[in-house]
Formats: sequence, C-alpha cells, structure tokens
Amino acid sequence: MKVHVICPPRALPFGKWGCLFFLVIQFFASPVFAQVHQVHGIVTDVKGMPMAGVTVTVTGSSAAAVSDNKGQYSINALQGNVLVFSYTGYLTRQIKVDKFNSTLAVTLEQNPLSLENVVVVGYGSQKKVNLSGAVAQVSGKELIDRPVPNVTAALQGVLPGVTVIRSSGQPGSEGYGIRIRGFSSANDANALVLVDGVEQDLNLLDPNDIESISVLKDASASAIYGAKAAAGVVLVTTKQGRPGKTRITFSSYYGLNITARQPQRLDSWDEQTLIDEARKNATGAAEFNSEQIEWLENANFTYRPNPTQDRWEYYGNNNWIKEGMDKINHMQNHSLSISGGEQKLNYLVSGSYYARDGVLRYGPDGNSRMNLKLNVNSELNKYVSVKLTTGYIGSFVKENAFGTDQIINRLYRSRARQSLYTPPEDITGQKYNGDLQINAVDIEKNGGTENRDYETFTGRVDLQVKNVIKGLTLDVVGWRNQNNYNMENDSKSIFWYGRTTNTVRFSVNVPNSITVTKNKAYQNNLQSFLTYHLKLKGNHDFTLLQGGSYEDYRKDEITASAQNMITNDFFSLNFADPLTKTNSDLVQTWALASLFGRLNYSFKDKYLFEASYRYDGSSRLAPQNRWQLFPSFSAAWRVSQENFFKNISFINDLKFRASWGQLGNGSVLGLYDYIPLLTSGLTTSNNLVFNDQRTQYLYQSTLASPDKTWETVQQSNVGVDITLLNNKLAITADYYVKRNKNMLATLNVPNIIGINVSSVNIGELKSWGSEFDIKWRDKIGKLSYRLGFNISDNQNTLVKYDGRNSIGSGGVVPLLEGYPLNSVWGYKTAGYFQTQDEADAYKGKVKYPFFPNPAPGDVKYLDLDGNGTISAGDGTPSSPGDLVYLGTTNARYTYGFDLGLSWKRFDFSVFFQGALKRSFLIDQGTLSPILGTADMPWTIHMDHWTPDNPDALFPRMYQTSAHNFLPSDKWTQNGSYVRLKNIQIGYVVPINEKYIKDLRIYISGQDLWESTKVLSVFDPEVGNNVSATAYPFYRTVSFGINCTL
Amino acid sequence: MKIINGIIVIIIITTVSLTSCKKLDRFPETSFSDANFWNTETDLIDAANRMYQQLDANWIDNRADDAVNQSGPNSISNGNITVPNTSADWSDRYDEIFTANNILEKAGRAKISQNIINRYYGEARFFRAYAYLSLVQKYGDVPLVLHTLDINSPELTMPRTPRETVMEAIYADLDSAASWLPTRAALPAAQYGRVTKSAAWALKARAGLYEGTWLKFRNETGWQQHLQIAVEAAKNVMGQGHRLYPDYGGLFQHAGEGPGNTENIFVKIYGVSNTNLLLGHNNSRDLENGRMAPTRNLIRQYLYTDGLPAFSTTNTVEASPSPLFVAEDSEQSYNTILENRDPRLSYTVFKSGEEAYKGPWIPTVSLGARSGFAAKKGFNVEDQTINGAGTVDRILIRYGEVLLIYAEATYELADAISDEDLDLSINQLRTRAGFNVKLTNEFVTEHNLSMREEIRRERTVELALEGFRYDDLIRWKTAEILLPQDLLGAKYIESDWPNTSASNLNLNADSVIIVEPSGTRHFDPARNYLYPVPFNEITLSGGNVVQNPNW
Repeated sequence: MKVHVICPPRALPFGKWGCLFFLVIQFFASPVFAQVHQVHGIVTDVKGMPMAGVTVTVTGSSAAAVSDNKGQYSINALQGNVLVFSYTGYLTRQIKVDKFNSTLAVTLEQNPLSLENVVVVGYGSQKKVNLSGAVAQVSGKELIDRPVPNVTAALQGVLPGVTVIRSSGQPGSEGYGIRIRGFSSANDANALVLVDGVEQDLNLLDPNDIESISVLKDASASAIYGAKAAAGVVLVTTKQGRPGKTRITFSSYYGLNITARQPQRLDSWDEQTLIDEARKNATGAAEFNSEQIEWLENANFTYRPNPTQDRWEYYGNNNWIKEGMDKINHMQNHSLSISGGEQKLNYLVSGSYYARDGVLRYGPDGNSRMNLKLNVNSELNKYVSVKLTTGYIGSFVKENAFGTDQIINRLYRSRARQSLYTPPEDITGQKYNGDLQINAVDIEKNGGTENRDYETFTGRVDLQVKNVIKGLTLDVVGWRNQNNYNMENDSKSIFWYGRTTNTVRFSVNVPNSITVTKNKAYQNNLQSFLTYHLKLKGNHDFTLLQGGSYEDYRKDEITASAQNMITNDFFSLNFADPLTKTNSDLVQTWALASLFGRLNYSFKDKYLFEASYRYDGSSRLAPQNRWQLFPSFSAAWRVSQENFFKNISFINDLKFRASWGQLGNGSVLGLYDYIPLLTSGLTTSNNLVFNDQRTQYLYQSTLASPDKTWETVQQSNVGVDITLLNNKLAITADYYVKRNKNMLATLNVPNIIGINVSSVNIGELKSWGSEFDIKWRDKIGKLSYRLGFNISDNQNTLVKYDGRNSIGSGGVVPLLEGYPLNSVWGYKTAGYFQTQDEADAYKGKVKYPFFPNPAPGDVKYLDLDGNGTISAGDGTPSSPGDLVYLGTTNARYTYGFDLGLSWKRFDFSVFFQGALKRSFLIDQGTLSPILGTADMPWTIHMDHWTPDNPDALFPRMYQTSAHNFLPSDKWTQNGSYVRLKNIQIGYVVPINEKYIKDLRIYISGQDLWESTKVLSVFDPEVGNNVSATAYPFYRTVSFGINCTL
Repeated sequence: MKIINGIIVIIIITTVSLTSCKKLDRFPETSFSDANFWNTETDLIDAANRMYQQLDANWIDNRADDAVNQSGPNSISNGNITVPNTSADWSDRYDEIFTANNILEKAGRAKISQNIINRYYGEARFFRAYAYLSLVQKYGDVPLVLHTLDINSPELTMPRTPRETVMEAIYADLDSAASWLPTRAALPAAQYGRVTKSAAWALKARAGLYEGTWLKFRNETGWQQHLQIAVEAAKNVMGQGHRLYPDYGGLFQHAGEGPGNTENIFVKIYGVSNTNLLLGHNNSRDLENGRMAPTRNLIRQYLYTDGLPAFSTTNTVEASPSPLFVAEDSEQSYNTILENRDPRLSYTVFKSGEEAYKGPWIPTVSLGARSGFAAKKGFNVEDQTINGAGTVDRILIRYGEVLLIYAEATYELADAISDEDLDLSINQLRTRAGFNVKLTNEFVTEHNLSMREEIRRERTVELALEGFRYDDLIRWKTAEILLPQDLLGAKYIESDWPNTSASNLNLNADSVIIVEPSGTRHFDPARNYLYPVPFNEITLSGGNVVQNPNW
C-alpha cells in the first residue's frame, strides 16, 4: 500500500526527484514494532548516499517497512528470514537475517533497464516512461576505464543509432566524429553537443567527468533546439556535488598503444627487384643490373663514392619504418574528483590529465590534455537556487614542423637502399644521409616543431526560481565558452650534402621560417525559460515550457609569418628578414536568436502527448530569409497501464511511440554568404609580383547566394519500449525516416561560369533506418551478469540533386541523384590475362583506352555493355558504360554486443562492435607500387603476378601507370568488420574501509582483435581513399586503478 | 517575493527584447564587399592584377616530339589521352575569362576619367583574348562567354560557338586592347609586366597565324584573311621599337629580365630572389630532373654551320644532307651530334663535360632525363639551389616570335617571301644567335631546299623548348606524321657513359636510345587534332556541348 505512494505518479521535468522523496518519507516513515527480533540498518546507493523510501519486506510475512530520509529502516523478522529491499528503478536485493546480525547495512544498485530512470532532455528531464520521443541514454559508468582518447571514442557501438567515426591515429588529430542516425545532409551536419548546457567539443572531455549522456535522436526530442538540431543532439551531464561526507575519487590508467595493420617495407634487394620489374615492363629497361642487386644483398658493401659526381652511392638496406617509428607508444589518464557539502550548498571539483604519444620515434608527436571543473549547487532560500558550472580544458598538440603526415609519407617513400647515416669517411660533418632522398629520421630530430595549444574556459550560471507560484519554475541561464588558440610552427632548415659541402643534394624548410596563429573566440548564450506544471482533475497532467535565447559568437584571429632567422636555432618574428614578413587577420561572427516552447500532456499516465517548437533567426542569412519555425509533435501510448493489460504480469512496461518534426541544419551556412565578398590576394599563398614587390590583387572567389536558407530536415519516428520479466529484459526498437527537404548542395554547373558557386537549397536527401536494442540483466547465485546487443540499420538516397548527375570515370561519387551519398563506382574485372595471346585476343575485341598494350598479368576489365570499349559511357547512372555500382562508403549496419559479469570481487566485461555493408577504395598511388617513381612497393606487393604466381593479389609490376588500379570490383574493399572493442577484468581489492572505501584494479584492452576482409595493412575503420601516409591505428592494453576515499 | 516577481518581469522582458531582429546583423570585418568596390583607379588595378596572378606560365610541355618527361610518356604525345572528367585546360581559361568579363562589366562604375578606365578595359580584353586563343587551339569550337554568368543564366548550358566566331571575338578584343593600352615606350618601368599595345598586336599576330595556317592546311576557305591579320599585326609590333636581345642564351637568364630587354613583350614575372621568394617556379630543378629532356627528334632539326639541314621537318633524312652531318651509326661520341650546328643548339642542350646542373654533364638516364640529353635553355644556376625557388621571369610573348610570325604568315599568304622580308625577320634572329648563314631565296634554290621547311625549321629551332612545338605541329597538320615516330635520345657510347650499362637501355641498331618506340605511339588524324572536351562540360550542359569528333 505504501509502495504505491512512493512511486512518483507523474513526470517532474525539473525537480530532482530525490527532493520529493524526502517529503514523502517524512510523512510515511513511522517505526514498526515486532514481536520477535528487530533488524535495523541503513540503505544507501552505490555512491553511499542514503536512500529514502526503500520498501523492506520479509518473505513469508506481512511485515513491511520503508526507509526514512536518512536511509534508516527497522523491521521485525525471524532469524533465517529473508529481507527483500525494493525500490522503483533499482535492482531488488534479498538478504538473509543471520543469528547475531541485527544491524544490516544495504546498498542498492540502480537498474539501468528500468523505465523509471530519469532521462535528460532539452531544457529539462523526464522519466523514461513518459518519453514520447526517441532518446537514448548511457551512464558515465559505462564509458570509463576504456583506454581511449576521449568521450566520443568511448561511445562507439554503445548506443543504437549513434555511429562514431575516426579518421586517424594521430594524437590530438584522431578526428573522432559522431553521426546520429546516418546522414541528415550531404553537407557537414554535426550533432549539437551541450555539456551541462554549454556547447562544447565532446572530443575534449574526460570520460570520468560524465554522469550521463542523452542522445536526442528524433525530431520530437530535438526540435526544441531548432536550427542546430538536424544531426541530433547530445546532452552531456557531468557529475554534480552531493550533500554528505567529503568524497574523493581517483582513477588512473596507463596504457600501451601498439601499432597494428600497418604497411611494411621490403628489404632493399626485394624492393629493387620489384622496381626493376616495374621499370622493365614499362620502359623496357631495368634500373639496376645484376651486379648492383648483388651489392644490395652484400651486407659488407653498402656505399661507394660516385665515380663522377660529388656524392655517395648507397647500396644498404635500411628499414625506414623501423628507424622512424616506434611500434609501442604510451598513453595515460589520471582523474581526481572531490565532492561534498550540504543540502543547501554542495560542490564537486575535478581535475584530470591525459597524455598520449604518437608513433614518430624522435621529436614531438603527442597530445596532452588537462581538464578542470567546478560544479556548485546552492539553494539560496525556499524559492531561489543557483547552480554554477565552470571549467577549463587545455589540449596541447606537439608535432614536427615538417608535418607528421609528411614524415610518414617519406618513411614509406625513401629507398630502402639509402642508409640512415653517412659513411664513416664522410667529411661534411653531417650525420644523416640525404643523398638520394631527404632523410625523414633526420627531419624527425631536427626539422623543428609545431605546437598547437587550444584552451577553453566555460562558465555557466543557472538561476532557478520556483514555487513562487505553485508549479511554476523560472530558469535564467547565462553561459560563455571562450577559447584561445595558439599555434607556432618553427621550421628549421636541414641541408644534405654530397661528399663535400659544395654540393647540396637536398634540403628542407629552406629558408627557415616561423608561422604564428593566435585567436580568441567566444560564444555567449543568454536564455531564460518558464516551466509550468499543472495537474487538473480527471488525471490531466500538463507541463508547459516557454523560453527564449540569444547567442552570439565572435572569433578574432591573427596570423603572422616570416623567414630567414638569424640562426637556425632561434625562432622569433623579431629576428626574421623584414622583407619576408606577412600577416593577416580574420574575424568571424554570427548571432542566433530563438524562441522555443514545449507542451507535455499526459492522461492517466497512459496517453502521452508532446508538442514543441523553436523559432530561430540567424545572422548568416539574408534579412528576408532570416527566421524560420521548427515544430514537432509526438504521442505515446502506455499499453501496460491499460486495465486489460494488468493481468499480463511478465510484461512490466509496454509503450508505443510516434513522432514527427522539422529540424534545421545551419552548420553549412557560411557566415556572410548572401553578400558578394572580395578576397585579398595578400591573404592567399599565391603571390603576385610587380616591380620586385609583393602586389595586391582582389577578386571574388565565390558568387553570393542571397536566397540561401536553412536545410530543413523532416523526421518521423515510430518506436516501442518494452520491459519484461521483472525488469530483467528491456527492448527498444525504432523506425525512422528523415527527409532533408531543401538540402544545400554546391550546384554542379558547367565550368564556363568561371567562378565558384555557393551552395544552394536544391537537394533532397532521404535517410531511413531502424534501431534495435536489447538488454538482459540477472543473477545466478553470486554471479550477476548482463548482456546487451544493439544494431542500427541506416540507408539514404539522394532524392533530388538538380537533375544533373555525373559518375565521371568511376571512383567515389559524393552526390548522385537516385543513389546513396558517396557511392562507389567501378569496372567489373575477370582476373588477369595469363598469356599474351589472351591479352591480344582481348585487345582485338575490346578497346582499352587507358592502356595501349595489355600483357599477361594485367587486369582484365569486362566490357559489360558490349560496345567494344571499356568506358564510362556518358558518365550518368542511366548510361554508365561499363561502370557498376559497388556500394557506398557508409556502413549500412553498425552493431555492438556486450557481456558483463561480476562475481564476488571480480568483474569482467567484453564488448564487440562492428559494421556491415560498407565499401571503400584505397588510394591509387598506394595500391599501385611506383605510380610515381618515388612510390615504393611494400611487402604486400611481393604477391604480384608472375607466370609462376598466376592468382596473385596484385597484378604485374608496371611503373607510372595506374591502368591496373582503376576503381573496380577488384580493389573495392569490403569494409565489414567485427572487432573486440574492449575487454576488461577488474578486481576489488579487500582493504580496510576506514581509509579507503573502494579500491578496484583492472586491465583493459581496446581494439585487440578484429575480423575483416579489408587489405591486411589497413584498419577496417579507415576512411575512403586511405593512403600510405595515413597515420597508423593501434591496439591498446592498459592497467588502471579506481579508488574512492 | 516582490523582488522575485520583479526578477521574473525583467527576465521576460529581456527574453523578448533579446530576440529582436536588429541584433542579428553581422557584417564581414576582414573581407570587403564587392558593392563598395570599383571606385578608384587603385581598385581597378587591384582587380586587373588578378588576371596577372591567374596567368598560367606553362613551363613544362611534353606534348610534342621535342622533349620527354622523367615520369614517363605524355598521353597527348603518345596518343593515349582519354576523355577527362574535368580539365584545367578548359576550366582555368574560363576562370580567367570570368575575371576579365567582371572587370569589363564593373570598371565603368569608377568615377574616374574614361581614359583610365579604358586602360583596364584594355587589359581585360587582352586577357580574355589570350584565354580564348588557348581554348581554340586545344578544343576548336568553345562556348563564347562575353559577360559574367550566374547560376540562373540560360547561357550556362549554351552549345559551343563555331571557332570562326570565337576568332572574331579574339580579334575584336585585341583591337580594343591595342587602342586602349599604352605603348611599350610609354609604360613606366615600375609597371613593367603590364600589357601594352605591342602585346595586343603580337597576340593578334599569333592568333592570325594559327587560324590562317590551320585553315590553309585543311583546305578550308578564309585562311588568307587570318594570315593578312597576322602580317599586319606583326608589322604593327615591328613599329614599336622592339629589339632582339643580343645574347640568345642570356635571354632566358636573369640578365634578360626587365624593361631594358625590349624583346620581352609579355612576361609572367617571378621574383624577387630565392632569399626573398615571393613567387617562384621550379623550372631549373625540372630541367635538372629531366622533366623537359630534349629528344634527338628536336636536335635533328637544327641546321649545320653551313646552313644546310640533315633532316627534313618531317624527320626524314634529306636526299643530300649537309656535308657536316655524321650519320647516326657513325657518331663517334656523345657530342658528335651536337657539333658543327646552328649555335642555338649549344644554348639549348648541354654537351658532355660541359658545366651543367651540379658539376659537368655526364651522360646518364638515371637522374630522369630519359633521352640522355640535358636541357640547357632556361637553366639557371641561381634558380636551382632550392626547390621551387626559381625566379627568372617566364617569357610568354617575345619579339623573336613576332618576327617568325611575320616571316611565316608572309610566306604562306603568297607561297613566297622576299629576301627583304627575310632580312627583316629570320636573318635578324640568325644574326643575333651568331649564325652567319643568311636564309635567302637564292640559298634555298641553290641547295634545293624548301622555303616553307626552312621557315618552319627556323621557328622550331628559335623557339625550341618554349612550348610552341605542339601547337605548330597541329596547325601545320604534321602531327600525324611526327608524333607516331620513335622518340629518340642520345647515342650510347660506353666510354661516354661511365655510370650506365647498355643492358639498362633500350637501344636501336645505331646504339641510339629509343625513349619511346613508335609501337607505343599513335596519332589519329580524324581525332587527335583537337582535345577531347571534358566529360562534365558535356553532361552539365545537358548535352548542348558536344564532343569533338571520334572521341
């Protein structure tokens, strides 16, 4: 009977629901006396907070009690009885009463599957049961202890419909991106990320700071964010202070990053053999004769003076990858947080340090980050409370001034026969050899540095006034996110000489130079909103929200550079050649004003209805196009609340949802697109010289587009939430259709226009898909376990793109009407020609326009349209010639599977993640050895066609021709993969709780294994057109500790 | 309570007022609006300067038979070119045409004297003509766009305009330009590099010769009028006080730069130096790396010191070659073919042992010069030290070319040329180069030569490696004869090639390097005289733009 009262009857958008329970408990907590034996104790949550309102029953007895607002309970029971502690939204615990134990402290754990949980939504929070939109939430606990650079990385595979992409393994430039429900636009459409309400970069957060992350996936959930919400909204809530004893938590890990799936170099003699094969096939003459090949194989003959020139000749064998890159690198993360205070004033302060080193063996290649945060909650009086959130994040990237990518490129391109060092007889004083090609290892050590420091300061104040009028809450919020960016590139000159310093064989960074960029940017937001909660007779429940916000952004940037320092070791603009100094400034501004509101209506907790709107105006648009309304509607039916359903006991909750809404995408709008603007030639790298002076020129680079407006994405969603079997099993399924009705697209116009054209609202993109999520959680004896599986399916079609379509001659076509974005087109192939007769016969039948003389070992392209020529036809989907559609670069399915176990002091979890139905291409210059004479073959190319190896992976060697590497089914990579994303084993160390409440140690492995058909030297998660220059990915093993004092 | 009510009222008012539209105006602070531009002469200069910046310098040209690249065969030269999706040959020219059209439409807004405005109109029309001539040379008919277009312009999908009409527009542009631009003599030294009347006339002469000979050798009508235009325009230039630079080799060095050398008519300026590098090119490094390595096919065209040839302009051995000619199977050293020749050859190709790129030239193919010949013309030691730091100006039109146009157009008009006209033109060039044999009608008759061949030969030699050869073969309609032939290189004589063994070379029976065998080269006269129109231009025009024949 009392239990019913404890269960809150309706949604409370703003209250911390704990507050309510204190009230409820004060009313109901009355001691119950018994005849036999009184058991008493305290109930706390996992964080040690007392829990009020927990129902305590005794099995086989009618005795029942409820914990009070200090978490204390007492109940009469017999020895051997089992006490049952239950609380809505928490896992029920059963504890046997022992002989001497009349005091029983109990900790209850939240049941993450329960729909009673509160979910953060736009401008408030709701209980999951009352949601009519599609919102997925994950708690911070599920994201920590993974050795990943940031929160985005930790989210990969965790939530259905949320895809995480990464582009590189380079520290600080990992390029993590989040895509919610596939593409909303063919253009940039980034999810809006609000961290405690402040727009911030998810890639800079420390996972340990996260309390929860809500992803608003459908239009009804996110339309309240209007023009910024088209690609979904991510609401991050950080941990807050709590009243009670001061708590200190410390988390730390140290990880090893182990480079994996990386192309490997050949020994110099093998390399030269392949080069000679390629040269001979292409030009009829090899580069080296057999004597020279012998020199390469002879370890005692590695160089000789060139007989006629002032230089050495090298016949060594140097593995550049080994010399220039470390296979094992390091990362670490340490977080400390302290919280405490009382009900009226509490705080949480946290700080963390993260660092990761990259693969370059020498010189800087790393990223470090510091996060500091302070959250203060204060109740000034009965009506007014203030919440303060402040933070600092500093991210510091250090790399070589020559560019890490360029160095890696060189490590793959320098000839293996070029030794690392000069011969002992060398008299030039140089240590490193740069005779044949520039020496990447020397550059790593001596090429100079580039530092990029990005620091952001955020502050947010939320003043809340409530209960002045019953049910009415006013929030006034102001926040500012201010960034500083400092970049300094000091490029040091390096010269490589011949045998004497008379001959400069090569040089880099000449003249030496300094470039400095500094900017300051801020984003201010002032908003206020009123929330009115009203309950009418007859179970009509209303919540109304109305607010407005104004946002203002400005960035001021200045860049200066100069050359020719007085020495090669001191870099300052003050000491450079005055003639070479240049500078430029850049100011970017925008403003956004909005009105927004929402109505929630619930009838008997059975029928839920929600409507919201946002009316946005942006400075980026011409005044006449400035304002637009973004509405949304949704409804839900909680079938399980119906009387006819009451008898179905194995279903705890069943809810059907449906929603429709419109969202805006403004991220592609330029700042001043409607104004025709002139570019100053002095801000470009293309100089003009008259009269021995740098001369100004002005031009318009892009036509203005005054009619441009937001992209409008219309989204419909239907879904079902179901929990079964005593909340042990939870299932959520959704189906959605998104339509970007007036997508901005760069108009593909004939080049006779002579100028770039800005994007125009001419496109239409349809994106649809479904999501399915199932979780199970139970206990077998002392073993508690959980299982989860989620899968998302997403597809899209470019419905309209101005009717002009060009596939060109194959490859990845970003925009093609009637096809998904980024469709892959290529020729069909049928193996290699095995004999010259076969090749000649083919040549007699089929014209082969990109190569005149096919020979054995060349790829045989199929003349599908039978017109006697291998061609791209008209280059249109209706007349693609011999090109066929080979898929898209975006995975259709993404999925995640996780299993967690805990037994006594041990815990174990394993998490698999994968993607299905993805195609992509590899850079032609990377597949094709010696496409440029400096492009080297790798170990994979040893498996190339020869008469003895007719089924080789690669065709015959042939230099400076890509004819065997045209986009085709042969080279299209099947990007499907399944990967062991994370595996963890933890152990709670038994320790005196007086000093340390909790101490857990663990080993965590990230990306340790995968199964894929992608070319073995590339990670399956790489982007399209990956090349050898790509920064290698890595596997991670880490050792960590979590500790609570 | 009162305070709180007050707060609520204030907040609501603020909220509403914050969202008023006025607050939403943001204007660019570091870019300039076009609407506020086009007022002063400086504005017009800055706008016109964009055309000089867009100007393409075309250093490396491997499309013909005269030079090969280290990186392998050129697909235009060997006939393997395929239809591209897009091509800078097309789109860059229209970018330049947009700039010119934009100036022609907006310069008139300036509240300054019409004479000043006209000068920049003149520059715009010159550059527009320059771009269109390049388009006609490659594609034939091209869409003639004479005003700026926007995305809704119906002309955006216009078909190609017949080349006759485009040529008329070129002449009209150049006539206007010539009337509005300053003379060479009137151009202040500080403005050196800006176009003059001479540049407009010289370009007109180039256009007239191109179109006139194109039509004549295809037996089409109307060629006389174009050749007449060429002769007259060349004469106009010849009245502007230009002189040949006395040193043929120095013309392409820093010494030949600047207004003091009046042979320069139109140049792209690079500068200032490799220690103060504002705009650099890589030409000297490119030459060093064999990206413009001369072929034997080119070298065969040079006369011997007696004024007599060994090979015809179609690369066949003359019935009675110069007595100084050494048959290729009898060449005793690498240098044999380079000796006793028109002195211009010694300014164009390095001899073995001659101080070249980094030390003396030692015959090799390993650095990239696939022909084994090392280009000298335009090579500059100061420019070579650092990649991309070359600063010698690129000559785009020089007086020497004007004299050659005059000679050729005069000859082709009448199939004859007087000795006076030869003295005015070709013999000037020979004298400047220190070549003491004059070309006269008598000499031609006496040695049973062809005046047309000798004039063409003179052009090939004088302008060698300057990017004219391909266009010449196209308009003479001799590409179908010359391009499918073997591209030959230097003679391999073991003692001259210390670092190379014969087994690494593809040699013919005379021990001459076959750089590209004729079997890999073809030229379809029904197709290859025009470039293929880029694919996208056809599809995006909705099919209004049609492909050139047989592509």
